[in-house]
Amino acid sequence: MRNELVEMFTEEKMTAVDAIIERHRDNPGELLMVLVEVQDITRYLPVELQRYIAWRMGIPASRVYGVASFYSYFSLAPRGRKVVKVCTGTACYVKRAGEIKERLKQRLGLSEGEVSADGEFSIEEVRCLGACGLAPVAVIGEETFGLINPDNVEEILEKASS
Amino acid sequence: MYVKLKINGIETTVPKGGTILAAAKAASVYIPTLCHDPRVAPTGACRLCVVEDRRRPGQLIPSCFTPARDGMDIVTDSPVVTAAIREQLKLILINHPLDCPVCDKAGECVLQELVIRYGIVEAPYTLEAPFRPVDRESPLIERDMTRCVLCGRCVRICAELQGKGELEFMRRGYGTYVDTDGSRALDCDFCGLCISACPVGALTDKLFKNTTRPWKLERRETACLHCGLDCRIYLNMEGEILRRVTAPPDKDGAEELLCVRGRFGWRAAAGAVRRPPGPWLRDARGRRDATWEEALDFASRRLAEIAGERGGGAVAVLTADLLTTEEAAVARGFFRTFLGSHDIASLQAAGYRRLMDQLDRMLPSPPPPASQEDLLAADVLLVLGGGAAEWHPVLKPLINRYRQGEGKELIVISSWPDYLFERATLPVAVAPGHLEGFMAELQAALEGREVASGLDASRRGIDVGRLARLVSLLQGQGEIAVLVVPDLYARGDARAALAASLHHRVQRILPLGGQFNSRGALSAGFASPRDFQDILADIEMGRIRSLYLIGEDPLEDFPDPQRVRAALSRLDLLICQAPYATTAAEAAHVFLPTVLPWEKEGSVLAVTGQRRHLRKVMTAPPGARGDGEILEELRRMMGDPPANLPGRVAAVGETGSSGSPAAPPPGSPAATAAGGRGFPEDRTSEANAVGAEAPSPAFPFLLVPVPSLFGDGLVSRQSPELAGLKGGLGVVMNNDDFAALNLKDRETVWVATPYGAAPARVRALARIRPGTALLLHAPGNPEGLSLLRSDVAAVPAAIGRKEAP
Repeated sequence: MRNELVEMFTEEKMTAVDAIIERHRDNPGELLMVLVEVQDITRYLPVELQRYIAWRMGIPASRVYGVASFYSYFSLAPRGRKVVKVCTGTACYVKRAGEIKERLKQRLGLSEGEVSADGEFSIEEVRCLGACGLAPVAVIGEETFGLINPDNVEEILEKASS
Repeated sequence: MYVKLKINGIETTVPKGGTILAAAKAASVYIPTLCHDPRVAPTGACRLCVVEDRRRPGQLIPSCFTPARDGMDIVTDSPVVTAAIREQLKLILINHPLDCPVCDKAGECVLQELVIRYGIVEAPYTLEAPFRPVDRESPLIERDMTRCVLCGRCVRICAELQGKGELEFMRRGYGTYVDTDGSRALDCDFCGLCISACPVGALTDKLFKNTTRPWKLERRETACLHCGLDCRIYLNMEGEILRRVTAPPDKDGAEELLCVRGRFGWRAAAGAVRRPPGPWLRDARGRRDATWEEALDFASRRLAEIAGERGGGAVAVLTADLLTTEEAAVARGFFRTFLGSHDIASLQAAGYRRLMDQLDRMLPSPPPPASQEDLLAADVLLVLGGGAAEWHPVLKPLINRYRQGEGKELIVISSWPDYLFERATLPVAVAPGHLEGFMAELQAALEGREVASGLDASRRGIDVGRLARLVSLLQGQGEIAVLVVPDLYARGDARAALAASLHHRVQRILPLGGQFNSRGALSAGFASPRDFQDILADIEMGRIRSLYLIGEDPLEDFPDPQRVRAALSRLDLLICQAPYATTAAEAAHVFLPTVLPWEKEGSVLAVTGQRRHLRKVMTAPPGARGDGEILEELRRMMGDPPANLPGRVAAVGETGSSGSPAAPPPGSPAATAAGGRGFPEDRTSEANAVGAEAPSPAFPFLLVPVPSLFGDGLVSRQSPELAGLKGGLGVVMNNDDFAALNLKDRETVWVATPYGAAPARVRALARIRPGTALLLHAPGNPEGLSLLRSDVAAVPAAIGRKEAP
């Protein structure tokens, strides 16, 4: 089980994952923290990894999947190193968020759920980011870009890449 | 502490904390429910149980989880309430297909009932159908989540009662569905509690699927055959055809608990699997079918000859406790009194009989029966030995119910992480082979006696802090109940001795491992300190010349089948009287097909002490006869007791066995224990004898044979469904050992011991001790049995991809 995960990620990452599980394994209630910390390392939570966590923590794999699929924070599919999150909340949407998303996809050559060939980017839609005053808003990696428009997507991608 | 309130104008009371729904039930007022299951905690998901308080009109209260309060004036059928229920039903129907004509649940579907009751004739709302998984791959259980109403009963019953958590709510909001991780097929205990909980046709019984319609079924109550708890079951009969097994309702109206064997193992009795059509005889010319007259004539003649020549001690009997208590009395009369045989032993119930015998000798009075309620009432449940919930799987939900009580302690002392061990408040892990020694030392320490080595916890691999807590709990104020669990093959008596030594502190002692009517058989006088190990030695010595098998098969149920086969071939007479033609039937001189307990009338005594009279609920195969009937016929045909025949007295002297059946032969455990009640003074030598052989470089693992959830008994083994779930011989190892060998889940590996080698499917478990491996499903598997030796709790073993080293 672990061997397949080492192939999928790396020995180094799996060692870090094991350390996280070890820290929380006596408290099954800390599953949410485990998933957050593990996703920080692996960037996403494939079902094999969830089953591994469940097995090591001695909790049902179904429960892990239930938690991981409940929160949009967790991704079950691979993500890029930088996740482009385009807000499609009401304010952003009326300010052409749909078009912005299409442009970004075109520019990166991806559709939703895919990762760019260099593993750098993936695109997700998010609901309101709570920054409606800056609409339309996109988040790339950790950085937030407000008052953008379909024509300057290239600019913000460059900024985010630098 | 009662609460007084009115339901539809009827004055009623409920205990404080009781819900409005419970109060309505007490007042015999109907309230519709869908997500409510009295077996699990309420969630109030379906909103069909809403009621109104006349004092606050218009405010809807979900009655299933709202506690009743003094002075409430509840109305359940006001226009507001009825309109709300009707509206709610329409909302539920948005995502429920109206495929009732092809749904197995139709006729017993809660939603269908409610829709008809409330006259919903339209489905005014439509929404885009969300993703819902359909699983037709899992064994025994079909999941069609397009029919799911998200009541969560399956999720709750699986997690809360079965303690498995196999099903869970996935995603959220409108996209929520119930599933396993990644929509995989079920890999669980297959208890089917989820099926019993599902109010609609989302979870259904695959064996029942498309066979008939529920309204054609007649429910006949009887007892489950698969272990000694004798759970109440309903055989769902369509005419004389058994279609499925369900549990009868308990006092709250919910289905009682059942395990996989009870719910899905019924084809062992109904599929006519290996049920032979008539008796046969085998002589020098080979095997030939015989009439009952011929077969019984031959059997009675040979038995009389052997008992006449050699004495009754030359005849030994093995019974599997499928006999009713009345039949057991007949068997005892025939073999003990009439023939003068000393040995009525058992293979499948050997552990249980041994524990009962040991306790009987050690306790001042026989252990009082402990009912399920007694166990739930205890404050401290002490489980001596691993495998309690594997022997008797209904203990899983039962003990989970116990654990939900406040301040309940569950102490499990085991050398392997069985189901209860993993859920214990105080698990005490003892290295394999050290269990007997540890318990003897613990007993000595509790009694304030000195032990030579002291209670050297580290030597036994035990956490010292846990040990201190264990001692303080056992010496504390809480009421203690003890479950004593036998090993599959080892014969130590330390756990019985420990349980017996606590008897003044302990309310109940319940020995486990009993088969269908093991307790009834003992009550009929089957008790014997000698078991098959002793009988086998006597066969090899030529003292025992005839073996009479009643539903037992030593070739399938005892370690080292080669030795057993060689011993059986020395016998002058091997009679096999059984419902199935198993391996021993082929070697027998006479085979007599018998009926199963459902096919006869009589009483049974569960290991928990409940006596029940069972009616005949199924038609027996035409060629089969009742065990009692056969033995009575044999006795009639034999006429005078063989004891009256000339020559017997001399024969007794020759065989060296004593004339009185009650006195144990020298060298038996009873003889060393001085035969009296009270505690044996010194068991240290015996405790050490029941250890395990040490691992060596060639055999680095310790292999522990353990009981299987899917049933090790002869009856369970005939069920194609249970056999399928077992999937042959299995070995479970520590996950690090597993990773070090670079094995894959469920791959076939070779397990080798100094005695044999066999292929087995391997799985890994996190909490198992490194270097320990569990052997599953050895009973009934000659290759598996050849790996083992009787009277050892663990054998050294090698495990790997290559054939035996």
